[in-house]
Amino acid sequence: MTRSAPAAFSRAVFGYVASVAILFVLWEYFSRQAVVAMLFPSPQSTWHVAVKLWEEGRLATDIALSLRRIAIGFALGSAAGILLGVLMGSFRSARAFFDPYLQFFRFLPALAWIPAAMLWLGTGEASKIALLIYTTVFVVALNTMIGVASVGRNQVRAAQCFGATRWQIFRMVTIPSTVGHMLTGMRLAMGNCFSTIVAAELLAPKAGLGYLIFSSRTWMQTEFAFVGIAVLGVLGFIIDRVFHLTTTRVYARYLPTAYR
Amino acid sequence: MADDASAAKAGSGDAGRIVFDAVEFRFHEGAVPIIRDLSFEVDGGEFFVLLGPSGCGKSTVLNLIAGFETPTQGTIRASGHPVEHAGPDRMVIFQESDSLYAWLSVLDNVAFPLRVVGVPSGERRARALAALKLVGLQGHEGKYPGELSGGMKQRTQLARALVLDSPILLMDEPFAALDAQTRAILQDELVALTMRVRRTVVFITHDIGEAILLGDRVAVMRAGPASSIKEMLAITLPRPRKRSSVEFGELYERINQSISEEVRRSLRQEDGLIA
Amino acid sequence: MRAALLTSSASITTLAVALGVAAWWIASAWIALPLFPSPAQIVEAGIALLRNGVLVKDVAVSLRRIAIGFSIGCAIGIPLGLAMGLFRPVRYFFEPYVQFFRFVPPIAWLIPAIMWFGIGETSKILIIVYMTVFLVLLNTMAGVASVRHNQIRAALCFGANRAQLFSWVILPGTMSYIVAGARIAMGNSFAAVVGAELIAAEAGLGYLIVDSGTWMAMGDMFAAMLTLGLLGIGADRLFVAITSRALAPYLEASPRGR
Repeated sequence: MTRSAPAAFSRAVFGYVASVAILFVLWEYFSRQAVVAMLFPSPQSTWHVAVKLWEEGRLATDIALSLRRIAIGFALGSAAGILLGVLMGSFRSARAFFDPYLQFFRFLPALAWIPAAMLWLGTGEASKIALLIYTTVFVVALNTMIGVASVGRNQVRAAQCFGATRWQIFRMVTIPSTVGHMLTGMRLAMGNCFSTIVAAELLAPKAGLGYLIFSSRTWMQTEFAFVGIAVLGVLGFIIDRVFHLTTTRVYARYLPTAYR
Repeated sequence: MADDASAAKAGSGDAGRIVFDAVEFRFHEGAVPIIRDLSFEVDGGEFFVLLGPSGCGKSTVLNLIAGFETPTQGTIRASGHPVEHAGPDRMVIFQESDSLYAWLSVLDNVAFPLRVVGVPSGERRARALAALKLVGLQGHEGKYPGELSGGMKQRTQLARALVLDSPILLMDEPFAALDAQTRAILQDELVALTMRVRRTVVFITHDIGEAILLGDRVAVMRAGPASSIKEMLAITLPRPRKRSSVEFGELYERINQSISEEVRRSLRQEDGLIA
Repeated sequence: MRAALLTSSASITTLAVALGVAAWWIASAWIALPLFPSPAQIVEAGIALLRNGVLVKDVAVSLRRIAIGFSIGCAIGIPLGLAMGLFRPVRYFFEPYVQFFRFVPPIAWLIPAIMWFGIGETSKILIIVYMTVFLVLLNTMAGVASVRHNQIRAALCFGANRAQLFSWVILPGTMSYIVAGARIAMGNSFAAVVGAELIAAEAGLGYLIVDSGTWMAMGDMFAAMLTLGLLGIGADRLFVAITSRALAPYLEASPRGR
């Protein structure tokens, strides 16, 4: 039994739409049943609050602030992580030196460092960015290291046949073939950054999406939390899409038939 | 491409000449040697085939000539110099085309060796295109390895290997992973190519027919471990050779017997070890 | 020979750790503020916490939350992942939620969870369940998709019915993905529970960390953090040891990055 592509596509769309519609219906229903209506706001109420926050400019500010912190921390952490990963992948001694730290700090989440970071660096930008760098570096370094270590042996040997120096091999063979791994690491790190920034902003609330969520409790306005969560979901989705597209374009050269 | 220059190079003096003298190789101390007391010579411009069952150490011999490994005993000389490390005078064509660079186009892959040695970009392009023409890939230079068939990838590898005018080509079962039709076509094209552009070729295969078709001389190797050359046969059939000719068939039988003997002998040995 | 020993990986690793501890010690002596405890102070504080039972109590609380949350999460995530991987309608139904909510960090739900369920166990466990479900679900789905078509076709040739196909071909084939997802979820559970406890809890490792901070008892804080790291490593090793022994043949069948 063969299914035609258009039929399968419309089936999928129908499924998605039906599913989301059911969610909204259930949401609306439960929000009316809620004993204390403000604990579980309806979709309508949430939307109104979102619009209000946006018009006040508050939502935009919170988003911008959180994103800015993530951007800085992520960029610095990725740069450091790539450098470290390349070093560890290329030199056995570097790997032996940094590996114990990598292995240990993998299991010490950035969240656990929040109180210490706040005490040492204050509750402002510095502590948050430091936490973001921490959470990014190790993941990116690990993935980069794996990438460097898994360069094709015959690719290196072919370059040796051409008389390439070690530096030429590194520059012209190793690095290009590691880019995919770097992107994978960065994509994973980005997820960590979202988690970390929300937690940090919940603990030291000044402004930002985490603060928005936090303030829902202070003001007993659950809508704030819902809006914050929804925005996080959308942002996360968009950024992940960007990574996906970038990775696809990079890998298109490796597997063009898979990504046409 | 400098056909005349390389013809002169390949034929004259030591150029393209390979000498193995009592070579032994083991991977590390105390390991069983892959090859032992291996001695042979390949003349400049000769198409030399190393034939043998799996595990007989043929790839090891190639890696030693290429300079990827060093012998534990004995010496290897190429073009009159001892082999110390890999270099453009001994160019390898790998069995799997995984040595191609997936992020570069066909043209850039073929031009890569020229980039390494510092040839300016205009000349690089011209020489790469010429090499592609030689292997029949003109028009495909914009494609990426991921878009190519197995046969096209191997042609790309071949073009890339020719671009530095290396006097010695080392081919490690280059057609083994291709389907029979593509293999036959590439074999014929390789013969035509080497007739035009004289190089020393050391060709590894386990396919007897391929060996007879391509080689000036065929060295039948013993089954491993600690193998060496069982016998050396000169193939005097005139080129181009026909797989269907009587002489071809006779040679095939002769070599087939020799190898089957070897395989049976090694199986008996293994049984002996188990029992 | 001696040179080889000096530069071997093991010696460099030992050297690296020794240098790290030494650097920390020097830094703490140089900064000389109570805010920056020395390794000795951390160890002392840790021992004291162990002695007076505080560390043990908080570790137990956190571990309990992790155990419950992780178990519930797997109990939901694995079957759901299998169902989504096998039945298209199920997949279409849940996919929009999965694709959207996977990007919402679990900790974001803490505040709503607290408003609904109070500061107690439920809110923390819910966060862990949330995180685990997504991870395990996504990995399980990927696992179902990875079962080789020819294995399924061969079973169909043997006349296998759907139940047999599921239990004897698909489930074993998915095992290594399920285990990989569970392992990651286990590691993340520690982060999730600590995060939740930092923000709103009265007991647990995260609470210990933040409470120590309130009293500026930095030695205690770092001792708790160290414990967290060691627990995470221990749990991971234990997980791998148990699964690789109990499920060894299934893990060989469909190799997935360890």
